[in-house]
Amino acid sequence: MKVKTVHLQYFALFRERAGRAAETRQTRAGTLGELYAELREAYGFPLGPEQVRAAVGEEYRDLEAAVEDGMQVVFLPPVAGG
Amino acid sequence: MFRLSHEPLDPSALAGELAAPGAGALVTFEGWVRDHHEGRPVTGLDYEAFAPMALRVGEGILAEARERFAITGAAACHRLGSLGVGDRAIWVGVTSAHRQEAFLACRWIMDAVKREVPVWKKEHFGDGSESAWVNAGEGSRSEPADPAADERYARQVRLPGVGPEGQRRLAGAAVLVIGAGGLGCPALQYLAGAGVGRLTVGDGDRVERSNLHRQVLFATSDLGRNKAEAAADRLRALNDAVSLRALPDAASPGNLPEWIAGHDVVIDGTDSFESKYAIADACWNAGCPLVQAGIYQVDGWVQVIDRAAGAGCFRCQWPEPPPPGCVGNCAEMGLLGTTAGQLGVLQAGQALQLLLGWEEGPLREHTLYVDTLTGSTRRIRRVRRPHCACASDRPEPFPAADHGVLFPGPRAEALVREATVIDLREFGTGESAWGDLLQRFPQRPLVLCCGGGTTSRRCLAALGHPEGVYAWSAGADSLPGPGKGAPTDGE
Repeated sequence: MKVKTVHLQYFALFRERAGRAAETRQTRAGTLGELYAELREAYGFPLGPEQVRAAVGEEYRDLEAAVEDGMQVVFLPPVAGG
Repeated sequence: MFRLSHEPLDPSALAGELAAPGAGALVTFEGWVRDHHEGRPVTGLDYEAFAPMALRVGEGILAEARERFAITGAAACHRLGSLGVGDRAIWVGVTSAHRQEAFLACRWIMDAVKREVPVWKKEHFGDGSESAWVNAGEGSRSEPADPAADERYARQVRLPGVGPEGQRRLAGAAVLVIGAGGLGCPALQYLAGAGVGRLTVGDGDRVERSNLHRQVLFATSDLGRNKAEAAADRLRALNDAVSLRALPDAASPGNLPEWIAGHDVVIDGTDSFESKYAIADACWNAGCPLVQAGIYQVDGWVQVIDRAAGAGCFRCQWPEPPPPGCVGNCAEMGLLGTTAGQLGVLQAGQALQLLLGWEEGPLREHTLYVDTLTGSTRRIRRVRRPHCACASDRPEPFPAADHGVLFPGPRAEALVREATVIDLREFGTGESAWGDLLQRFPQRPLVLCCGGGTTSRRCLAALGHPEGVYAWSAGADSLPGPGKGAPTDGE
């Protein structure tokens, strides 16, 4: 599968675990779900894919959505504190 | 029924008229003639009323009480004529299904009668002199002043989009704030400052020392007080034009429909997934716009869930709560008071925009993510999830999210009656006190309770949500017990 470049941003718990707010990454992931699995493996994110939302640009996307070259992706964990 | 009487008041006859099958509680208040006034001995007094107006105003107050509170009946009778020391000057009685509403309504009615009903009194002093005729209350209230003309709001009335009409809208509006914590405190301050006419504060917790750095409505002297009540007192001092009501209980699927009724906007200032789902579900079912926010250390989000907006419900966005313990809360993760403050003020701003009818401002279709460390923000568009329960025309009530948290209700109460219940206040509320709790109490089911419901949830999470262990979400006072659980009891 073709290698794509994605621009990632992390929020809250994910930023903490990834140790960075943003990164540009090369990936062979076909879908956002596969991309999340790759990141979960790399950084030890404690949440399963059903607990996570992804946004591309300014919209929420399903994890089945295809990863495209040059995509801006944000992974968002649920946050309840107050 | 509001009455005036020249005869001595007969409390049992008055109370008897309130009897109703749905009434489970009767709260009465009596005002008596006392033997002193401002340091002078008093031997008696005379009451006079402008009867037609007094009756009309009095009936109006009782009608408003029936609107404001979930009560089954209300009556009041004011004595007229010559009274001696110890005589009953006024009697107020309120019945309701549950005691809390009757207590609140009775006090509210008495305060309103004293303030608004045109009754005058003349006191007879021990030295034979008499006072002049004075208004029996705290000064009669004339027509309420136009809020748009109040200098207090001059700066916001000047803003395009508010104006005199907007200010009057705010004065006629009602907002329910659930959770007087790090989000709720700043939100409440700004809503009171802006002149929102009615504010209701719901919180079952007590003010703790570790709250004070971010819950800036509270003073050190408030430690140990119920948060809703302490917040309401402070807000009354901030703006006496705002009508404040405190609900000193934890929100639950059982009481939320009643709490939400009559409000234009709800602000969720709670800090757990259980309560966020329960509140979102109840607001959705009631069709009431909800302003939510959440915080994780320096990050936060805020959004509006509005059934009228077409961007779906909270469950469209997050179908299920995450498993317990996988995302930390503020007690575990820490935060700056200012982060909670920023998000709480954003919530208040969203509420004001909704009340003012601004179309573009409110985050009805977006979530705003805020990184308070770098100042960066991101708005993400929300969409309806096709197979969500809210997509049907007649959505079924959502199931309560629990993960071992027991909200008051028949199922939970049945479980509690079978269970061993321990009150965490007897063991200390810090995590260090809970280390050997599971070994000391091997019985299952085991229910943890505390004063308000927060510590029990925190303990359940700290223990790792073991099988058969539950947290009672409301205060220990609300636990079902012997003689309290029968449905025919009024509490």
